[in-house]
Amino acid sequence: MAESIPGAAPEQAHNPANEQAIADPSGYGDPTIGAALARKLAESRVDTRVQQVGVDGRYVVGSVDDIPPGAHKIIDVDGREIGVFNVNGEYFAVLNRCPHQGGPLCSGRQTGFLVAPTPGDYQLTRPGEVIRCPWHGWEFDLRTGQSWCEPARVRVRRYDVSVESGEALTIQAESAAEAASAPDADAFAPPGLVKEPYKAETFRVAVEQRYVVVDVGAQRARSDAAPRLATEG
Amino acid sequence: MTATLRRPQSEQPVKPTLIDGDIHTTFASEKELLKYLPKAWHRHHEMLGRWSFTGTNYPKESPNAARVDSWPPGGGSPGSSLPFLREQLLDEWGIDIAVNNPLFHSAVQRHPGYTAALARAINEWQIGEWTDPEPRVRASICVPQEEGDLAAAEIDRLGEDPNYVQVLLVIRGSEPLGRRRYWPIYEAAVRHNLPVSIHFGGQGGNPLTGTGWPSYYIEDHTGMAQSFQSQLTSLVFEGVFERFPTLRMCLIEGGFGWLPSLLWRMDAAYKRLHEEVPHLKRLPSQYVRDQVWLTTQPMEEPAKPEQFGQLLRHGNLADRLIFATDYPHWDFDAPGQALPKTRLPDGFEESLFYQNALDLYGPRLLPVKKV
Repeated sequence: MAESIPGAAPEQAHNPANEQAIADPSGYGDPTIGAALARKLAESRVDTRVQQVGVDGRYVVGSVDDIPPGAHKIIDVDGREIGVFNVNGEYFAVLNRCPHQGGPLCSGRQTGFLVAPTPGDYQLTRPGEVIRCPWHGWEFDLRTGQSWCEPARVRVRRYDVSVESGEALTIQAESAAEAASAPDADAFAPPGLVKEPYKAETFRVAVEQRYVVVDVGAQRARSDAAPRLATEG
Repeated sequence: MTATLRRPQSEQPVKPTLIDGDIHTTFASEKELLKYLPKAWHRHHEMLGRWSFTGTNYPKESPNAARVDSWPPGGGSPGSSLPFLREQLLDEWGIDIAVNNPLFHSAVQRHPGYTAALARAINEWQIGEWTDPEPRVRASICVPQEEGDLAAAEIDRLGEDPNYVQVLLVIRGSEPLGRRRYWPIYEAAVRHNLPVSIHFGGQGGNPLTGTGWPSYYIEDHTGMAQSFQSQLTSLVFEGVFERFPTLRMCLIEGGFGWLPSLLWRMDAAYKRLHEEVPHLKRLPSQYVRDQVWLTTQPMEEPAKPEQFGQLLRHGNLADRLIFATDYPHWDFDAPGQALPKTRLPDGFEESLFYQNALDLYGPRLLPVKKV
């Protein structure tokens, strides 16, 4: 009945490990920089419009193989663009809109926090857990959505992400469909024909792959209850 | 505010309502440049190339100082693809007119003949590759900035062509811009009723700051406002505005928060020291008030947004600021997103987004032809 998991398209996700060529910002005018950036951006463009699984705002982003550690994927959830990141096996999701001036946040560079306890002593902390807006370089913590440019008043919306088995998702999708409208063989009866007593045996088809699921509904409910974090003071 | 700024592309405006005072296009390739550079200069260009400017004194925030998402998907540098410029800027925001400021460093070459040839090539290229296929883009007359006579000749050559809306200088040349070696530029601009606009950047050999070379790009980016103040001071006290009363100037990408205190300081000094500059007939602030416009990007962002309104009043800026995106550079300001969220004077947005630009540029900004 459910041959595949809705929304789980097998696109190749962007893997920053392959992008070392763009690491040096001093190469002004070097066409390889532009080529690498254009490739990276093409890969991270919104390519998947995902569908809801179940009835509670949960969406399948793709299989775990689609987003290996270090990679990310930008999806379209009901017209909202959300970036889903795999940082060393942990998954994070934030809205693809920078609260500063509306830039496409998730196509920016993924980095860490550079700290210097004393001048000349530089340490990169929490590598991969920070996203920098491609426009003005505003930094946001992927774990919390918090901006560290103006932590007192700006954060980007974050979403919960989980990994679930295909079988569990299939059951959820089916029970949601059943809850919406119970399947009725009579509804499919060709006109003028009488239902015979024989019925072929049917089987439940489960998908064993594991899937990344972003939860929009729970977040939505929470943020409605909590005081709204504004981008203006 | 954002909703009113967007308009379907098909509606061709009679009068523009969103004007972008600062965008940057660049050559798609060396071959494209050579197509416009006179053959006589090809050998010089290939052997010696562009001297004195490899782009920056400091590694910028991002490659080419460009928005990370502005590299055209088909290859080439940010600002080199017209289809992508349309998609990412003109159509995205419904911009009616965008003033193109090519920063290809013709102004700071050391060879007089080559700098003139390069400026000429840039000017022809703007028409061939940009304003002809896309009338929403308007061109600037790039000039060999340090060669006043050659610069004036280029202005005279193109001054009556309506595709060009201004003469473009860079803020950091070899000497203060009020000095007489630059006056032929202003004289020629006035002859053709063209504004002279001065853009962030350039390398005349002087340190960025009055005190020497700083260590970091963040100091370069912050400190460029000093150069604008020095140049405006020079233009006022050397008597450029007095000598050319119909000259209109625009300061691009240099900020504007500093303007009120500079005007106060210049006026106060003038009242005490005017004997040194008897060629001035009015207060410094009066010349600036009548003859100088400024672009917004990068927008001043006071920690208390309401101070933005105070700044507009202190600087008499409401009818002198021109909105600019600086596309494709990384410190891009998005129309409708960039203004501090505070109560603004009545009519300010109309002034900012088109009326002030129309006041500065005049009929040259009205549509000259249809797509």
